[in-house]
Amino acid sequence: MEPPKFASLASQLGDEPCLVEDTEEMFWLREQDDYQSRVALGNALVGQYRFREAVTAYESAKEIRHDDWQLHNRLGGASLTLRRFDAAWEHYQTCLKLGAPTQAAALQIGIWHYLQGRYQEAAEWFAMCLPCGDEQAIAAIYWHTLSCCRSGETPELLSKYHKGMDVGHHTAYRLCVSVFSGETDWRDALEQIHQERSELNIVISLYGLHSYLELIGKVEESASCLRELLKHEGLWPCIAYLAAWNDRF
Amino acid sequence: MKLLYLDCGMGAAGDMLAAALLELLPDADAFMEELDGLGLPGVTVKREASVKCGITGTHFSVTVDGHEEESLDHHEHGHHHDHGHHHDHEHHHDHEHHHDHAHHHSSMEDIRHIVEQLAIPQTVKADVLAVYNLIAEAESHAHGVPVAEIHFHEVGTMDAIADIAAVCLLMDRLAPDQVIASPVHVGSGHVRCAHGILPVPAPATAHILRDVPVYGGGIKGELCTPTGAALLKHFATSFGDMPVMRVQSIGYGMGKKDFTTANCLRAMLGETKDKTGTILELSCNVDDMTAEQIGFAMERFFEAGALDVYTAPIGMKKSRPGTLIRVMCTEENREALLRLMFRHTTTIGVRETEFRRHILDRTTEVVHTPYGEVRRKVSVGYGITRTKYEYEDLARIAAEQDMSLDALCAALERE
Repeated sequence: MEPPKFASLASQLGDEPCLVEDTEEMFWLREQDDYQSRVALGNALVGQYRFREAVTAYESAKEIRHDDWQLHNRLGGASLTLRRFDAAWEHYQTCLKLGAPTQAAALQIGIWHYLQGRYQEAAEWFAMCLPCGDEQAIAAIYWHTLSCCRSGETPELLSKYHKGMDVGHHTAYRLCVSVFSGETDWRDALEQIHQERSELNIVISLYGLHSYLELIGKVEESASCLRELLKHEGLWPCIAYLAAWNDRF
Repeated sequence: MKLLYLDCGMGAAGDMLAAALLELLPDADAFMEELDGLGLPGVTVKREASVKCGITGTHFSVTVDGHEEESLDHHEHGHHHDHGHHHDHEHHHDHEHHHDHAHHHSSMEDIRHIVEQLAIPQTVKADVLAVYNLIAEAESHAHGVPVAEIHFHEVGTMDAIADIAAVCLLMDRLAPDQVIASPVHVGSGHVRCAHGILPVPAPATAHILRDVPVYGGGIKGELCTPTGAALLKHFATSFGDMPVMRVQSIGYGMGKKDFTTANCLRAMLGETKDKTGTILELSCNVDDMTAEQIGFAMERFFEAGALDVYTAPIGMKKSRPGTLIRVMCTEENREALLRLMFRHTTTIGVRETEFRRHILDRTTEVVHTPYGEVRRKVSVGYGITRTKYEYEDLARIAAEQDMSLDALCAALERE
């Protein structure tokens, strides 16, 4: 049987073994003791969803250089995916201390708060992502709106949304934001999701709809979206999936 | 004596050497402009400050037509692309990048043609070509093909030519009397290159570094490239520890990568005492050689370049009369004389002592006398001038004239 190409959620957040094998590139990266190779190895491991091992690779890179904010940003991301919230916080703080632009870490720190149910703080950090390009902005508006919905605050960033935004491949965020803004009916959006071919877009869209339907009192429809989303476990490191996994009980 | 010491504790590469030497120049900017005007098509050189483990140095880079080329100095480390998977942004890309870099393949003849066109002195061109010859010979040996058939996969690129030309030009500009390089840290493990998987040091590098003190150390990675090895081999007059020297300037040439140890080559330029005032004495005690055997050995030592060989009678252990044999020599002849001492004497151990020797400057002049031409040695220094006729000439003339040596000397003094 072919070994899996991506590590499972259970192997990273649970106790199951990780059966993913190194690629040849990773083998050679392990043969090098330099910083760049260790970071590249961490990135390659993240590409296989092997976040536990990625953290180890990044930490070994940190032994060589601890002054690179981008490395701390990566460490923060990997730690956050593994729900190691304290470690992730430390890395994001170090990242900012080392001179990272606030915008570079704002979305991740927002997610850090969101996954722990601190929606008000999450919204504040998502708001810090702007101003930025439309592609990034639509993601920030999406998460900011979801945070505000849960904290009971007015999603003011939603006013930044307009039809002409050049969102690039972030079409799933736009679909949900158009629902949040009243531009698209949630039933039409659900119909579009069922036509969607990109699994990643399906996960992001379903999470947005699940949260929206929950807010407007459509409990059964919301739960249905969540159940459908959780079937896409192959994309478990996606933030929307992790947030849904958080909401599942 | 002007001495350049190269600390290769983190290996050597063309760009590291160029950067380190560049830091020794008082006007590095002017030199960079000069390099840009060498006549290498499309080549632009750049120097920038680089910090490794808290040490500031220089990183030297070459771009060809706006692109930083992959020379042998970097290519063999493998292509490591920092794809930056920001999964937080929910980007899932299948990063199957296939890089088909178009490598330049140049023969030694192509390299010679390019170098001949460069606006650099002939002596520097000769250095550049000598360095390339070392690489070509090593590649030839590694691949088992004649040098003429060697095609440089990466070193033949303009990038490598620029690195080598820069180092050769810098050496010409700095003009050290002596270049000493430390033992070279070559790294360990394996590397991938165009030919497949190779051990570190790569075969060409290992071939170039024959007879050079090297060590693998604990760092996995290729620390010394063929270009770096060839430059060291060509320019270093010897390899070893840093001698006593007064350092006047220090340069740090930074590599591309970061390790737990600062990835730099350090160049130190300064003055050292002239070693011509230093001689070695090799000595041993023997109690089981005949006078004939000792005489035979002494002749062999003189033939091998001993400055002097002399013996002294000594009393040895077990009340045995013996002979102390002393051989005075220079550092250059040390190894050969050691071998001869073990070969032609019965000793099983040779002592070595270094002495500082103070000498008068010596010249030989030819004096025309009624007896013919006689060579005369003139020794000058320390406020003294001393002359002395060559014994061989005196002996020959005395024999020819049927005179005693004393009478001949007195006659010459009267002239």
